[in-house]
Amino acid sequence: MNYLLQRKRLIKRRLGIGIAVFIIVVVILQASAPNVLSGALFIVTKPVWEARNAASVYIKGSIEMFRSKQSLVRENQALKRERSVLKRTLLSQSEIRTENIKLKEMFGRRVSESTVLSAVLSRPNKSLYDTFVIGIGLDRGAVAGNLVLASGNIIIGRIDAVYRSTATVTLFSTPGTENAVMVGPERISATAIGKGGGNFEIKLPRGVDVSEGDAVIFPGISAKVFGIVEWVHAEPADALQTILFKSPVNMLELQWVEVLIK
Amino acid sequence: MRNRILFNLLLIVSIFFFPWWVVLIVGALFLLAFIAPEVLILGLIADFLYSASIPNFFGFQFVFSLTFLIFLVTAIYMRKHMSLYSP
Repeated sequence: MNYLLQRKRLIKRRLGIGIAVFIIVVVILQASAPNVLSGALFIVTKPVWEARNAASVYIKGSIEMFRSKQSLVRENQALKRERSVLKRTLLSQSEIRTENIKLKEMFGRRVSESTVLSAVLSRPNKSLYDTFVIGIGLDRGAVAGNLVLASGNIIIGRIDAVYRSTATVTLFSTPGTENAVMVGPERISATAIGKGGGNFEIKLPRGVDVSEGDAVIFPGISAKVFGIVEWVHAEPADALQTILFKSPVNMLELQWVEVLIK
Repeated sequence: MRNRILFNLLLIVSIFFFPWWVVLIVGALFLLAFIAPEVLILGLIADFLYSASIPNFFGFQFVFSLTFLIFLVTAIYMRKHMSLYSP
């Protein structure tokens, strides 16, 4: 009986010491190198995530085999119609973009951007920190601070930490994050506060004309879409109006992003 | 012993493949069933994989680890004081 009691006390003491050591290690890591082992871990996890993504694509493709021929024909026709509309829109946007670049060059500003395509290894919903992991790193020229785009011209975040062949990206919509943006056709300067999941809030004086559907732009020589205004509200007694806007990108379905390499 | 190994594997799989709230639930259930200090190491792994300095957590980058530590201490306390765990 004595032995059991002594053993219990020994286990308790070891547990206590273990917890104390753990707390000290966490404090030291937080103060000095919070990502010290991240690079090594990604060497193991990157192939696992890539295999998971490949399996997911294969399974989705296999499920498609069970769809009826009629539904596939209908979807094919709808996609063809959508494609011809998008092709025309893309052509006109390409013309506008070329004209925009020429006008900027006339005023002595050269716009040269280089982007690298990257797979999304781990989507934001996996992370408590509203971050996601992409499959390029120092090997492709990415550095901390590089902007990350989705669907071509929609800005969604910035690289926080970069490793050999992976990088961690923080979303601009991470709760509490503040970003300078421009709102509406008048390009009114404002501060967007992240609310999580691609949602943002802006407070502007009541008299400022902002409507639902207005674009919110990330300031820069080459304007990037930040979001679309979804709701504008002002209390009668309030001097400010609350504007809620959302990124047009569905963060839960992110598969590919582009990193703006400076 | 086998159940403990299964719980460890489930927690590792959750960290890699499932949303963060699933990881916390699995961790909590694990600690309800066992006093498992190895959960702290798995919490560290989750933090190394996903953490960033964000305003929501005042720049603290070991939220998973801290949460599992709180769960562990709570589990130890519960085992000591609750009749559910008495032999």
